[in-house]
Amino acid sequence: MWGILDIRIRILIVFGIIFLLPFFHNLETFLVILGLSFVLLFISGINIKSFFRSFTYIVPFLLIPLLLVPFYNSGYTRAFIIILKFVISYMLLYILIFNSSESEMLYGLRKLGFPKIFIDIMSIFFRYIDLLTDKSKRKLIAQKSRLFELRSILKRKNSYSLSAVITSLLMDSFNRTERIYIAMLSRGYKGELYYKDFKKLNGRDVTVLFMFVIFLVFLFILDRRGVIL
Amino acid sequence: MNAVEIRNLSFAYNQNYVLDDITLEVKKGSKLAILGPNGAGKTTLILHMNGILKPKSGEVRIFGEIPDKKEVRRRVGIVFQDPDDQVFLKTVFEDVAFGLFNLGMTSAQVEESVCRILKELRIEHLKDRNTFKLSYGQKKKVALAGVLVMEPDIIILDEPTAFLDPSGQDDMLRIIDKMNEEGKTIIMTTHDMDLAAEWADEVVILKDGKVLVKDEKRILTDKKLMQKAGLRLPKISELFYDFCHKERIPLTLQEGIITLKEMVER
Repeated sequence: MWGILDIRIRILIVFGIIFLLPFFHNLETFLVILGLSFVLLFISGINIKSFFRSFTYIVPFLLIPLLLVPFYNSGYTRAFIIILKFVISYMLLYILIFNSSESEMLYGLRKLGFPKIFIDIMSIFFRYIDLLTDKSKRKLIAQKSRLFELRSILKRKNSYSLSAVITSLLMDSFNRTERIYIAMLSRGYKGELYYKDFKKLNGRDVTVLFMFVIFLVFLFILDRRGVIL
Repeated sequence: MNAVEIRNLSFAYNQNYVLDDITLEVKKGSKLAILGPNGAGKTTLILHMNGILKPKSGEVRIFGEIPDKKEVRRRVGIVFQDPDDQVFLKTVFEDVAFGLFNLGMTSAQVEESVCRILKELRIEHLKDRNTFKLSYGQKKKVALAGVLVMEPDIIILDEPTAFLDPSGQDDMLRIIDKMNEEGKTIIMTTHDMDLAAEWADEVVILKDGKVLVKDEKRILTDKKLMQKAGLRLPKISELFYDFCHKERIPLTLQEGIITLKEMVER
């Protein structure tokens, strides 16, 4: 259900909720949004286990702002709200990324008016991150074949080898950038990347977006009046 | 008619002349191999044909005209040696479509052209694949598709068969020859003397940024010339060099077989 919505609608819904999170005050409002996020998580077909496993990687980033919250009186509620904001934002972005290909995301962001230069850089980055990872692995394998051990990085000789690998990667990237740019020019590149047009927004997409906006406005009013639950 | 005419072309990187007074003509519909050792200026020369580099002096004419940037890039396509330099977008479709969008085509036209070329190169099954996940041979084909889809009149290939397995090489040559049969002019840079001997109609040998010789491929059997150029004879020619009269040294495998049969019969 969620996956068949147009990417623009999915981006608007996710970023719409994330953008409004700082404007809500009541704990109950956050619980309602958390509930909605869980519903989206379920209907997106995401494995809950893998979601929570990925979440553990970012827990340290959550602990830092929590340390700044005073732990007395309303401090506990504030800390809990910070946790909820964090969990909701992460969950929604996870749902968005899980159900969208990179091309779809770039297309959606472009259609929603994100600066073109960012989209182009992201597009090339998506392609070359794989290449760079692969290249680093190959370089490390070549080093290992000559008895380099990543475990013993603390040894001066080994850390020197690793830094040489990183330097050569940077140089490779620089040279490759030059060659890629020449290859792009040879195919008529004029400083702008173009992408295939996807489908147009249909009635279902517009209806879902409309319902979502109504829901958020309703939630916002209730939050301000403090009448939720 | 000449597809490419280069007159007194010179080019320098920071006062170091890489190309020095090059004059060259490439006939329409011909198959030309540009040979030369590393650093001879082969890649610099082909980048001038596509308008990427501007000559310090001299001129490059395409079909008798000096076309503008857009026109020259539409009419002259370059397939670079390393497909990872050329294939840079995430999916095969996006990458093959790149040049067409730059030409200002609509999405529908792009879709149609991309599907047609992918089918022609027998890689339609790769359409939505991540370009990074392709094998080297597949990437080479995608790079070629990205150029062919723009329907250039002149196709320049920089070491097209380098690092390909034998069947990949045959496949690549089959596609190139098909393009040539359709009337396209093909220019290839290579170090592979055997390939040049088998494939080309004419050869140009560059050395130190100058044209050492431009002639029919038969000159590849001239051992002194090849030594002067820093190249070697094709393997077949090398094999028969000491047994045949200078004018009758075989150049291709087919010629080698015929010569061998004659020698046995004698």
